[in-house]
Amino acid sequence: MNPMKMLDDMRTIKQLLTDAERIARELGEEEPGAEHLLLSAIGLPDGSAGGALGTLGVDGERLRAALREEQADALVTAGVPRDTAETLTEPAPLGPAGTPLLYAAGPSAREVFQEAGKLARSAKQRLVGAHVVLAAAELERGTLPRVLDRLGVDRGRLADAARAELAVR
Amino acid sequence: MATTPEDPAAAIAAVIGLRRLADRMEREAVERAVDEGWTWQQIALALGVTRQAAHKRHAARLRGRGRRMEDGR
Repeated sequence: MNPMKMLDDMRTIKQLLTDAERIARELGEEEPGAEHLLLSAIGLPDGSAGGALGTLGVDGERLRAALREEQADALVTAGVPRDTAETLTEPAPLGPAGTPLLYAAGPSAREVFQEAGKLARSAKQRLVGAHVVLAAAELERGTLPRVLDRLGVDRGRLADAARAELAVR
Repeated sequence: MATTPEDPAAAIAAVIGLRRLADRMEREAVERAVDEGWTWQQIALALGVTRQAAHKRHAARLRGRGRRMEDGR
């Protein structure tokens, strides 16, 4: 493997996972899920994740708002009154992780992260945000696909937008 | 209390919502218990988990917030 590419990828992975964890903790979660990994990918300097989502009219702010709506509606479904559910889903930041020896990641974040890496390797490309978007678009169940549905984002079209970003690299 | 929704995706989303809420309540309650001088053993028994599990779950965070804990009790 090209050593420059490897160094670039290591830098990208570090930023992706560190920011996903930071974003998750800001939003009151101990481990990042796929949704936090996607928010982290939007912040990568290559700009391709933001570009792909932007094609469908989505940015980080809209994604965060829809995530909060999803969480409030989930509590309402469970029987919590609407106004209480909305108060309870106000972000309750956790502060920095205690021992940052390992990156924390929940199962959905791991799945998307590993798939993004595979996609980059099989295309012999540097890992960029659009690989994360493409991997995230493959998830069929769970919080992130529900949030994308809520935003009216078709996952097939999101995958196409991510591929279009990758094609120009 | 609402009944479990027919749609499994909606039901699982509700479970996730309740779990997030339970985790948050647990963190806040443990923090207050520590402030009131509870030992890890007392916190663990009250939560229905082992002392190791309670410690693993909460000690690092509480240390991060500058709470003085007496480990191992």
